[in-house]
Amino acid sequence: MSHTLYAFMTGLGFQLALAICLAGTLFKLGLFFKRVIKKDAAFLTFFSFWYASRSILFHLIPFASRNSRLNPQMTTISTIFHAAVITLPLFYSAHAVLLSDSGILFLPRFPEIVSDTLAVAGVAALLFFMGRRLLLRDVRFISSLMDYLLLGSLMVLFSSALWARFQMPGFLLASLIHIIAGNLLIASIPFTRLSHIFYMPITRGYAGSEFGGVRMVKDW
Amino acid sequence: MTESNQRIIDADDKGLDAGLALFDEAKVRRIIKKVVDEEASPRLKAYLSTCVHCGLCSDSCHYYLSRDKDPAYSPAGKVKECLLPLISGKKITPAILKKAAVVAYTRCNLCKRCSLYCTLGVDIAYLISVVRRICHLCGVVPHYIQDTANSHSATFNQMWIKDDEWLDCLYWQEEEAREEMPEISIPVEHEGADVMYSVIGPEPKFRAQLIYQAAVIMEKAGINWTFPGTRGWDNSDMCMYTGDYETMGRLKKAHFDTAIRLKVNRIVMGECGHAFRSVFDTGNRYIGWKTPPIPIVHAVEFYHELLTENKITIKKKLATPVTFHDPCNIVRGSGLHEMARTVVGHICETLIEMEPNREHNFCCGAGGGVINCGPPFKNERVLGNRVKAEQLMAAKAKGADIVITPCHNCHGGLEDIIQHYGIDMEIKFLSDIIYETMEI
Repeated sequence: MSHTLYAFMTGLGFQLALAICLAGTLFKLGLFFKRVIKKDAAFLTFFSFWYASRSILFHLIPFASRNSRLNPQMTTISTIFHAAVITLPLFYSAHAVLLSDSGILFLPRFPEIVSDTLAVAGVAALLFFMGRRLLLRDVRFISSLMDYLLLGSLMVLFSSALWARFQMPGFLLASLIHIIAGNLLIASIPFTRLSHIFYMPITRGYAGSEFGGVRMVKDW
Repeated sequence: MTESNQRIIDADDKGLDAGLALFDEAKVRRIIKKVVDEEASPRLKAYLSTCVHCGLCSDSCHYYLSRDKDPAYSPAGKVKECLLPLISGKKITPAILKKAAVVAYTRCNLCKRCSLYCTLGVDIAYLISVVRRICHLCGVVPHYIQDTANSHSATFNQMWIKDDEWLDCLYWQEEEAREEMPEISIPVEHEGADVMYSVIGPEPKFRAQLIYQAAVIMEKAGINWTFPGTRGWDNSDMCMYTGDYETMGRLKKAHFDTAIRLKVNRIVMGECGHAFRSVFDTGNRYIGWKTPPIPIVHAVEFYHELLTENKITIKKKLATPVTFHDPCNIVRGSGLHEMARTVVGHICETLIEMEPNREHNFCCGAGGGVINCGPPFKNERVLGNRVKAEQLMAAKAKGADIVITPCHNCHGGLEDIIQHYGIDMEIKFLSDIIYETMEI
C-alpha cells in the first residue's frame, strides 16, 4: 500500500500537484491582469520594469533596505530559510535523482553537508518564525489559523525530510509524509499566502514603479 | 495605564452617528460589493492574499510606536481592524462600521511610510483608502472633515470662502504690502502669465500673511505671475481623503481648467503637502491625466529655483538653529527632501537634523485628513505621535529653536504636538524665513 502511494506521489501525484500549481498560478495571474485592464489603468500606465526591478532588488538583497537593517535577526534567518526552501527542492541529491529519473530536469546536486545544513537551518528558521508568531504581540494579533497551519505544514515538510534523510526509525513513513506534504504545499501555492511567490514581483514592483517613476523617491 | 496606551474605544462624533442612524446592512453590503468588485484595483485582493502577516511593518508606523506598540495600531493590525470585518462575509453591525470608520479616518495618516518597510510591497494606505471610500458611500464620515468636503463641493474651496471674499482678501493683502513696497501689486486674472499661484483655503482664512509674503517674493524675483480671481484658486482637497472621488475630480478639473484658461506656463503651489498630492498625483489620475496637464511646481521647488538662480538675494541668513520636518506628501510623494535642504542651507546658518529623516521621516500626525476630523479625535492624534515629539525634543536638545516645515497640515499637527508635550519651539514656513532674510 505504502509502495503504491509512494509511486503515485512521486509520479502522477507530483505531476498533478505541479499542474494544479501552474494552472492555479496562471489562473490567478490571468484574472489579475484581466481585472487590471478593466479597472486599473494606473497600474498599466505607471508600471515600470526599471523601477520595479530596482525596488525588488533592494528589498531582496539582505541589509540593503532600512527595515532589513533594523531587523538583522529576521533578515538573516528569513534569508537562510528562503535559500533553503528555494534550493533544496531542486538541488538536494535525492530530489535531483527523482527529477533526472523522470527526465524533467538534470541539475547539479548539493554535497550532503550543504543540503543537511540548509535543512537543519530551515527547521530552526521555522521554529523562529513560529516563536515570533506566538510571542510577539503585533505578529500574534494579525495571525490567523491559516498562518499557523502553513508554518505547521512547512515544519512537517522539513522535519520529515531530515527524519528520512538520517534514516531514523520509521523513516519510510517519514519519507512518505514528506512527499505528501511537499505535493500538497506545491499544489496550495496559488491559493494560500504562498502566492507571495508570484504576487511579490507585482506588488513590490508596482510600489517601486510608483515611488521611483512618479514620486521620484527611493523606496527601501 | 499610561497616557499613551489608552486606546480610545468610543468616539463621539455627530457625523458618524448621523450616518449610522440610517444604517441598513443590506445597503452597506451592496456598497462594499460595488467598491471591492467594481471600483477597487485587483491589487486589493493581491495585497490581502500576499501579506504573510510577518509584522515587519509594525515599527514603521508612528501610531504603533507612540501607543506603546499596541498591535491594533500597527499597519497590518489596522487593516485587520477596519477592512477585514467588512469583507469577511460575516454580519456587519453599526458598531463594526463605526470602528472601521474611526480606524480608517483617524488612526492612519496615509503617509505610505509602511510601504517602504514591507518587502512584499503591500500598500496599506491604499487598503485604508478603500475603507474610507466604503464609509463615504455609506455616509459614515467624521463630521468635521465631511463639513470640509461639503465646502469643497459647494464653493470649490475648503473654508466656505465666498467668491468676493477671496478677492477682498487679495486686495487687503495688496494694501498691506504697499505699506512696505508702494509699487507692489497682487495680479489677479492676468492672462498669459508665466505662473499661476494657487494656495489652500486656510491661507486667506487664517494665514493671510502668507499671501502678502508670496507677493513680495514674486515681486522681488521678477516673476510674471497671477492669482486666479475665480473658483479654482484653492488647490486643496479633503474629498480625496473622505473617499469622495467624484468631488475630488471636480475640484482638480476646476483647478487645471483655471490655469488653462489663464494660459499660464505652470502652476506654482504654496507650501502644502496634501494639496500637492492631490494635484500632482491623485486628482489628475482620477480625471484621466497621466501627469498634470500643466507643470505643477511645489513651493520648495520654486524657492530652490529662485535661490539657486539668484533671482532673490538673502541679505543675512537666520542665525537661530533650525530643524526641518519633511512633509510626507512632498518627500515620499515627490522626493523634494534634498531640494528643501538646499533651500534651508541658503536661508539658515544651522540645520539640525531629526532622525530618521528624508523619505524615512515620521508623519506629523495631521496628514491624510486626520487633523480635519476635528476636536473629537485630537487626543487620539496627539497621543498617536509621541515619536514625533521625541524627535523634536532631541532636536531641541541639540539647539534647534525653530522647526521649519513647508506644509500647512504639518504646521497644524506639529503645533498640537508642541503644545501637548510642552516643547519650546517655534514653527515656521520656508516663506516666513525667506521673507525675513531676503533683500527687499
